[in-house]
Amino acid sequence: MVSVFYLYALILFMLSDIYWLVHGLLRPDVRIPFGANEIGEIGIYLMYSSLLNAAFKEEERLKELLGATVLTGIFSLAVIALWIGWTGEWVKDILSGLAFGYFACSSVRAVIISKAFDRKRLSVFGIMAFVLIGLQGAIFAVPEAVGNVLDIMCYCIMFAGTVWLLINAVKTVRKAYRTSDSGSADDNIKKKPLAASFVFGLWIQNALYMSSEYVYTVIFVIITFNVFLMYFSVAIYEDEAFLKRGGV
Amino acid sequence: MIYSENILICIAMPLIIALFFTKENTRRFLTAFLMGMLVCLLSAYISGFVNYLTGIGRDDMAVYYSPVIEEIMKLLPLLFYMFVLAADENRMYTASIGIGLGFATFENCCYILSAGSMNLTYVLVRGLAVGVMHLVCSLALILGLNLSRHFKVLTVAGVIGAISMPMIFHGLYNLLVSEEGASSYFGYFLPLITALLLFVPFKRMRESAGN
Repeated sequence: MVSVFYLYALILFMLSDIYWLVHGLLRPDVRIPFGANEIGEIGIYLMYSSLLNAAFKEEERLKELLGATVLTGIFSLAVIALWIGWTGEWVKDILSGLAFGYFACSSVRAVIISKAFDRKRLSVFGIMAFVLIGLQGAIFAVPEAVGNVLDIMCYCIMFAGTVWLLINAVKTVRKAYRTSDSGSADDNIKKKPLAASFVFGLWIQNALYMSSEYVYTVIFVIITFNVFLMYFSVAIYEDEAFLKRGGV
Repeated sequence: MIYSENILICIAMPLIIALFFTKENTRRFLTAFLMGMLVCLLSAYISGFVNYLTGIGRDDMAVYYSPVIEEIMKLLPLLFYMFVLAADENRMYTASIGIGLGFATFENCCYILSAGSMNLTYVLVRGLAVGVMHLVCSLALILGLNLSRHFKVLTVAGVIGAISMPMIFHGLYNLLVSEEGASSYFGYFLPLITALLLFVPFKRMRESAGN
């Protein structure tokens, strides 16, 4: 049934993209105002977050999670500020940003609970995210020539993070898939792919908003690939939930 | 110009009387149907008000904001039924279908009375496209709400996630039919195709809810 929930979120994702595409074809000169499409995007983040919260609701490590939640909250606020700086659309960006922030908190929480990242990796992930945001923010304040250099640096960090998190997510999924029959001493082995693929989804979605022109298209293709990766991770998790219920 | 309130009174009166002579599922469906018609009228008021406030224009209003307003209005009685009256999945399903059909019926009545019913193509479009679109939206909404409840994530996030599906579908339909040509024909067939695709999963869902 978790896969049905994920499928619901995926249909939402598909409809949102079709809306965006149809709007581009029928009304190419009109910018989409805050409406059905934006709420669709917000809905995707919230459905993803709900799925993660449902999967990782049993464990409670408040002290461990508090620091990460605060940092993710600050990151989300910085992202909202950047979006407003780029588009000037306050209502749209604040509402979408809050949903994105909630998804970010849920993903990071999932990573910590499942131990998909150790402390060192989590720190590297956090530093990369904040450096990226910091550089993007600095572009507003510096001359254009310096801004261009910072922009290139941002793309480098963005793609380095994308490759790193993608490899990590693929490896985690493969490892969990291979141990599905043999069993493993690690209790979180089948939860890790869920956390790893969704946190990669978070990173790549953020990268999409920071990109333009052909880079945007490349990232969109990676997002589509990650949809399948997320599906595999959901399927692996569902198998574990089935085993826990004593299904076999 | 038509007086929508008078039309609502005319259609609702026999249904209200019928409530005294029905019970259980039939009564629940009739109540939901009446609620759907009332919600349709209220949505029209709110859409008119938002149009006046924003000055966006009737066409853009229909494409961008009406789907949001209409789907939120359809959601409110369902949330009341779910949280206050603690309705189970089967009752929620009946209520959702009733609200969707009541909404579609009242909207169609008002449009046909204002535009006339001489053109059979127009009447078919109203019935098979717009009418079925509201039904599909109701099905999508109840599927989302039931899934959220099943996974115990029926929080604000879960409800907004569930409502966004009918909103985007409604918005997509309105966008497709807003321009003449191939897109509008695709838009007219979209609800019917989706309803056919939804038939099997919903049959299974109802069976599992019944068990």
